[in-house]
Amino acid sequence: MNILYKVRDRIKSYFFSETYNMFPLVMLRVGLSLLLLVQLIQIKSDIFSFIGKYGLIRQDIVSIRVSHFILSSTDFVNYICAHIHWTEMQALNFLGAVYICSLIALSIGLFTRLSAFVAWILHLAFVSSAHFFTYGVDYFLTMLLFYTVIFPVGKAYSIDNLIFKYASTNATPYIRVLQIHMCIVYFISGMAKAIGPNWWNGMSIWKAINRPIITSFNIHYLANFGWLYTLAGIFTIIVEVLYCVFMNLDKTRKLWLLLTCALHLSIAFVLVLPEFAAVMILFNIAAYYYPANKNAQLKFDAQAPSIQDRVVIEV
Amino acid sequence: MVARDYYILGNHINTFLMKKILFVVFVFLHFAIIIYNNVIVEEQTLISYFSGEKKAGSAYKFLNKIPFLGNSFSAYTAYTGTETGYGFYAPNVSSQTILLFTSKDSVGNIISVQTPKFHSAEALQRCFSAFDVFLDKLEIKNKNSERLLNAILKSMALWVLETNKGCRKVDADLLIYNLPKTSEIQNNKPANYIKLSHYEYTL
Repeated sequence: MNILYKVRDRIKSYFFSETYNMFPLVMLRVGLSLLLLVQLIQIKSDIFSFIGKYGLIRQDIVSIRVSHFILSSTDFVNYICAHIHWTEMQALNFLGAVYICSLIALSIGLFTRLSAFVAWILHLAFVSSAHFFTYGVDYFLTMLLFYTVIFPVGKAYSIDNLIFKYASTNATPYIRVLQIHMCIVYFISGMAKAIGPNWWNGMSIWKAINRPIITSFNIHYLANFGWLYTLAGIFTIIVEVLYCVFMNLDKTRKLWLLLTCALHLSIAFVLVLPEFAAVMILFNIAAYYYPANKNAQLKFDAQAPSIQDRVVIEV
Repeated sequence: MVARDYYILGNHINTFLMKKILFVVFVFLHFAIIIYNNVIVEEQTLISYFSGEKKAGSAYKFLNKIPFLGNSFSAYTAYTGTETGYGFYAPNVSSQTILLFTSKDSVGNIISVQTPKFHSAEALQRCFSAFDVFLDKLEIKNKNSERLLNAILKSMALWVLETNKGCRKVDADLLIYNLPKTSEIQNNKPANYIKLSHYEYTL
């Protein structure tokens, strides 16, 4: 039984000691909403090609692969058109306007949970209507929006806090969730790469930098650096597989964060995936950039009668 | 907020402690789902990588054996953005397919030869992601998937017809990018596109 108590105490201290302040969560809230706004601005001219009824892939074809338990933007549009008699374009513009308002409200922390919820549902709706056009970044954005809905991201540096004067909140449990998630992401990503030979011999990097979408470089010149692609492939595997170890050691955290950010910056510039890189850097910073309070004690909530907690520990 | 009292297995627990317990339970379940989802995705990827067949693995089959579990699992992962596997570009970077549309006028004169045009690099990136579904054409020998891919192709051709003024005919070529190794490039082997199929659509 002693071991069980020890495990329980370790879990309690890991999740509930007051190790982190609210700033990483504020950073996540503001950074995420700004990234989503930038994404919308980038694709706004082409949005109807992706989610319009007669877009590049028509919505009746897209709907075959949309899960029945998710409301797509087509469902919203059909509902609006049937009840308010708007055209498809008016309905989509309306949904877009609501989405933008919710993101702005989320960034300044106005009705934070509600605006995060609206942004999350609409983001999901747009993504599911355009699911043939999605890639990794959209899943990460959905996941971070989900976290902003369930985490108390509006309890500091927000208009809500000015209005409602919230009591201080312990951010540690939520930061821990982000940290565990990041460790899982990188470990799986690194292990999956390490299985085949192509990341060890540089072939994957070679193929990645020569995808047709970015083949503006001189391929004969690039072919002279085979050794560099091998090194880059091995570097990627090492950074990703050992992320969960070195990010959780105080002495190596800064170095590993720097290496991880360098990895994502190279993805941004060489693979021309700036948005994916930005989301991952934001996720990393929110989870690991802010220093932990080493002297943190396991404190109980101010409102909770501590004697009752102690009763459980003594059982 | 007033702390309420609960008694669980004879232990006295208040609301605040209950919240903590629920939080830890949620965290364990959440990450268990994420890890299991990755087992499903990676198992499928590895089957496809080593055997060339695109079929579900045992983790996926096990999940769908239990009534309601498969659907609940899919719903949860879809809403939380955790339905993707995290093995990006792994175990290797797949070959890229491209759709090249040749638009012609009523007489047959070529108006343009192009991949769909977009206003930003981000939108183009998304279009190329959509092209990846045609990789299935190489792997899946299933009539329904074949029909779906043909419908997607037709829809794209229609879009090109609509967005090119005076266009009456569209030829669509599905190509795959064939990239030699660095050593082969140094020996002057060219990178090229291999034509997988050709389709013609007329208004």
